[in-house]
Amino acid sequence: MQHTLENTIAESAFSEFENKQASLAQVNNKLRKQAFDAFTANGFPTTKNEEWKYCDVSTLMQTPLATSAQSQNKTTIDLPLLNDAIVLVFENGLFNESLSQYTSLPKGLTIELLQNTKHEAATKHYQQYADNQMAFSALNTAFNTGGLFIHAADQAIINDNIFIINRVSNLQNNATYCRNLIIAGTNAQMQVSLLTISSNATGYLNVVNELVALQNANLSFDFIQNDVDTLSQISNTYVYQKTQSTFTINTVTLGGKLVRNNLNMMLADANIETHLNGLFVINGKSLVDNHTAVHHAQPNCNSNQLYKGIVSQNATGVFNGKIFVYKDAQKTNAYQSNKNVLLSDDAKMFAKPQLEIYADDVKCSHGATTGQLDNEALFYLRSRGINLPDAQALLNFAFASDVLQNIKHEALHKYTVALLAQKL
Amino acid sequence: MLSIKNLQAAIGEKQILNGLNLEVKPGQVHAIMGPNGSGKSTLAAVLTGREDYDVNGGEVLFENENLIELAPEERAQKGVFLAFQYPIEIPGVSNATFLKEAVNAVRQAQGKAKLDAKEFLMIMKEKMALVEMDKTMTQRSVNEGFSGGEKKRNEIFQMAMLEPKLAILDETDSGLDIDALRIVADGVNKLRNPNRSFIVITHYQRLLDYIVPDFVHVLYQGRIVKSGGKELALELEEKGYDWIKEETVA
Ligand SMILES: Nc1ncnc2c1ncn2[C@@H]1O[C@H](COP(=O)(O)OP(=O)(O)O)[C@@H](O)[C@H]1O
Ligand SMILES: [Mg+2]
Repeated sequence: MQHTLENTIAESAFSEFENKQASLAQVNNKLRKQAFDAFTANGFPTTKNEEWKYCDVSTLMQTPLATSAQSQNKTTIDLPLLNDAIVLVFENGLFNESLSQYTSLPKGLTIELLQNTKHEAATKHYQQYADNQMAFSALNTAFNTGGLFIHAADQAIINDNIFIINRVSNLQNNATYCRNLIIAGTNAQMQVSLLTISSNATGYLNVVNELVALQNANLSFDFIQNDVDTLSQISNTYVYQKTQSTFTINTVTLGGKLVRNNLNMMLADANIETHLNGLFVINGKSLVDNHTAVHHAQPNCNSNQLYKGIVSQNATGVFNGKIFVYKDAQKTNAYQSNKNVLLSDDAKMFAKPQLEIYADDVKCSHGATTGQLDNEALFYLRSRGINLPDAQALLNFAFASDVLQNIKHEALHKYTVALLAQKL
Repeated sequence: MLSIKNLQAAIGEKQILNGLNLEVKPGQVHAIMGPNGSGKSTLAAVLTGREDYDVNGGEVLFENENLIELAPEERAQKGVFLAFQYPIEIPGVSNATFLKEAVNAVRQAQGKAKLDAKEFLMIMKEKMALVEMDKTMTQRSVNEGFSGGEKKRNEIFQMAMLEPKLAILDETDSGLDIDALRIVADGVNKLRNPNRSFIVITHYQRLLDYIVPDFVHVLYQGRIVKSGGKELALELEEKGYDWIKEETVA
């Protein structure tokens, strides 16, 4: 460990956290310490690091590492889409029992708090995929205030939609943590949606998701980020798939000050299918940075990536998509498409696809385009009497719709479309 | 209704309209013919407010209002409609959504109540019949994957929905087979009334057998060089445009 002032402060924050939150440390005391040590060894990334070139986290470094959140917001979360669904609510990183609804779970579905669970699968998979070399991921492992373990047993077909609501409210200059371990067992099917919302909050939310689809499982995960523009968010999502599994993630970012999403997909077996869809619609001075890495380690896997961005005002979008095709991964199909629209002169977009291919019999393609709204289409709409702002909204909406249509849960799709409509 | 005086327009460095005059009274149908590149589509674009064009002379009054100063949508809201020579495809926006937005924007601007979903559907059904359009086309994205004929029919369908005062049809006949041509022309004829005027731009006389014009004008080098009745179209069909060109030069 380096002996710097930052590390000394971090050290004392960690030991204080360990003492205060002894109850949270049970499952993974050792893992917390390992993660913390990894963090202090590496420190925060700077913009000198190619991977963080456009994403300046220096302001987040000023935020204390351990959360000071205690009290809970009692305001109910009034979203019609939550009716009849399984809902798990976290307030400033702490589970809110009274706002959650998960009493009668379908057969084969286990939902427990990570800090309480004794489930074998939880111990087996927790922190198996998260990478301590990623500073924020390590911090999450060291400082998280608990989280969720969601498990669909082998053969379980879970039809209920499961919503995790992560709300940050009335909290200034704090780091809050969101931690999820979600496992679909052999032949299981499950869909989980994580919604981050916030009000009157500064600082940042630190999210780590470990998502596992075992053999022939079908897991889908919607990640809807709709935070206030004073709150930042850094997420690290790790996906691990076994043979014949299908996984879909839809990452939709509609707000936030600085949002960085690292999505790491490990296709560890043959015959896997995986879909990564993303949409970000940002304005003001927001920065949204999506980094994806798809690892094709074995043959006959398909990955399909579609990321779209609509960037207006002074906002900045970043997309960095890496595809690795390992030597053994013959017959890989890996597709990536990134399309962005800039709505103002000051809006910026940095897109970088990266392919590293070490097998010879593969089909890979990538394409990144950034442009303005189609002027011909805009004129066509206006020539029919549609006012300019409505015409723009209609086109933006159309541009975004092929990403959103991947959200299979009808009520969530409707909700997201409505959020988008508000935003456009 | 429409009064164009000495209209001049350029795109970039290129001057295209060179002093064009045209008077259109309510209920009249004016055909504008002329060789390729003479400025017919440019006229349509300038009348509907396409931004690439620089109007650098003359004036256009529509119901005594200076049209050139208005945004494209304001012109549409006042009752100007263009059936595009090349209709634009808009993936992801359904025809029905698009038209509902358009019809209600126009109605709102005209101080009329918006149509609710049911009223809109009823009107849409009625107008679709006018151009024998298939029901499924309203759910498809605007013009996406439509055949040439379907696109042109869709233009006339939109016109029927928007009920303009002045409709400009830019080569609506091009690329249509004879059956499609008849359907489109019938649709237009059904929309003719004493208050609605048409400017029918066409390269060929064929369309004018179906949509019979009150006046025929020949546009050449950005100017109307000859005007007459419907028989002028027949003459052009017979003799081509060369004699006009010679006459103009002479
Ligand atoms: N975007 C443009 N840039 C430059 N020249 C153009 C452009 N559009 C049209 N023109 C030119 O303007 C002239 C008139 O074109 P147009 O109005 O389309 O003629 P028409 O419809 O009668 O065939 C032609 O010489 C054409 O090449
Ligand atoms: Mg033309």
